[in-house]
Amino acid sequence: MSEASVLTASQTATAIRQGETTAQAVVKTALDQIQASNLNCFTTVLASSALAAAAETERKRLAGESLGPLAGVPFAVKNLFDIAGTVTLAGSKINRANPPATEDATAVARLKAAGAILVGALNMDEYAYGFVTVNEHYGATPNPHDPTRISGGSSGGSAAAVAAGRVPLTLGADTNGSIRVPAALCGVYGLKPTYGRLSRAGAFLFSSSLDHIGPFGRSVEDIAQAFQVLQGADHRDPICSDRPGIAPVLSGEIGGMRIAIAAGHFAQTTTPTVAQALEKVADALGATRNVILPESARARSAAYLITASEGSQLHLARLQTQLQDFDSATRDRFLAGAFIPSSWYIQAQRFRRWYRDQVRDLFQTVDVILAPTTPCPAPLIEQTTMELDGQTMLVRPHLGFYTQPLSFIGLPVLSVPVCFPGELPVGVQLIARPYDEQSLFTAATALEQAGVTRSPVAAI
Amino acid sequence: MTHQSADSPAENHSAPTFDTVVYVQQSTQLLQLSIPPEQMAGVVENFERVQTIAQPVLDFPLPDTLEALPTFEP
Repeated sequence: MSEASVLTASQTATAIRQGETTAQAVVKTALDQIQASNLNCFTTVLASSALAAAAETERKRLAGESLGPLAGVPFAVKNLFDIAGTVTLAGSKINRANPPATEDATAVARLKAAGAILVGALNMDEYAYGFVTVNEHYGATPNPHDPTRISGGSSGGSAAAVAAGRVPLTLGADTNGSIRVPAALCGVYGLKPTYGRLSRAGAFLFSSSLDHIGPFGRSVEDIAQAFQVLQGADHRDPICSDRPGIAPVLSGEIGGMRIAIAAGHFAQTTTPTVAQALEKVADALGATRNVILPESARARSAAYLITASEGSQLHLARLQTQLQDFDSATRDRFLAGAFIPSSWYIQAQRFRRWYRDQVRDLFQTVDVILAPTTPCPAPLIEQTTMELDGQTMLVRPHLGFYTQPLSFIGLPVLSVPVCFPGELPVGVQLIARPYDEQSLFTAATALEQAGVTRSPVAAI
Repeated sequence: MTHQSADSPAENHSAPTFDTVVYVQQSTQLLQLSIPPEQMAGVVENFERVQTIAQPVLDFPLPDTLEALPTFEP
């Protein structure tokens, strides 16, 4: 693996800007590596358009024209984002029959406008309904740190492509944990911003009440940089906020910041590695106080009811006419979701407000809350059950145990990677009040500076 | 999966037991779906899981004044 491929996005952009390398060399290296072994991350590779964009970047640099902050940085997106001229698969076989997208998703367009170069689209669970990225149509995306294990999902291709050093920056989507779970299992940073903070226009949605998009990277700087350029109002997404964007500050100065550990629901059923990671992060941030997010187990249940109801309604026509073209791993769940009575769904939506109000009150006394991202490191690809605290649990639903209650009320969450020597990576969630992504960047920078979190490229 | 048993004396005096299989079959027709018989057991199993998940949410008392948050802003 060449040096260029293991640079972070920010380091890559700097090297190109300073003439130490060229966008063409960087993009060609990325494409060569993807072609040599894409680890089943990529479902589409856009070689010719990427090389053309790289040549244009180099022309601009030589001409002394202004370059964007991500100029020449290769990136890739979960294949539910529209890419002009490409069919948006959303992990399905059914969508192959759709016409190609006519314009880029807003997030794709904004990264391109910042100079980043799109090299491909990435594997996911069908229609984002899963935590594993084991897809009947496109195969499993193995974990770069141990290919016998899952990468997590549903944005598994997005996390694995970064963990394997194929690209330094990717985009994913998170309804119940689909950015944070794969980020944790692959040992990278994954940001699920505040609900409505980043435009979802041109992304194939799953459950609109809960859908978010966000970036993956191997440094806090890369996540903050991507977040900064992705911000902004967008009339194409009805829930996208028109609040002014922020310019993230990466000081790492946590003095005065009130940081606590989530107890109750969030302090159950973890493996020793996950417990140690949380302890290490809490120690580094000086967090000793515990806080309770009340009724979080119920919040997780309510998130499931909303997801299943909205997802099934979105796909009802396809369930009626193309049932056997669904992945069998999603088919029965989509069908069952179609039978949920409306009163259950509305109760879940009303409970969502109740829970939001409780957690808003809690944030009067705390700035950042810590919780595990997943109960365990990456399970084996074929594994269906796991043992936690002496109990046998189903793997697939339980990977979202700690993520679902938080996306349910749209809190901004950054999953940071913790890697102990000789062990699989795990993640810790940094959770802030709505629209306070800055506190996440501050705490994460402190952890990165202290060497507590790191995101090594997998030796694969 | 729950089944009514007409010849069970104990159940003659209790409320009728909800039959998930019948509900799923009827809903399948209502929604104009066509589920092959061999796939029905998986769907029923998944709906039973939904019922279990839903119960604590349904059991939680909420005041009449608490309305869901609309996200659509015209």
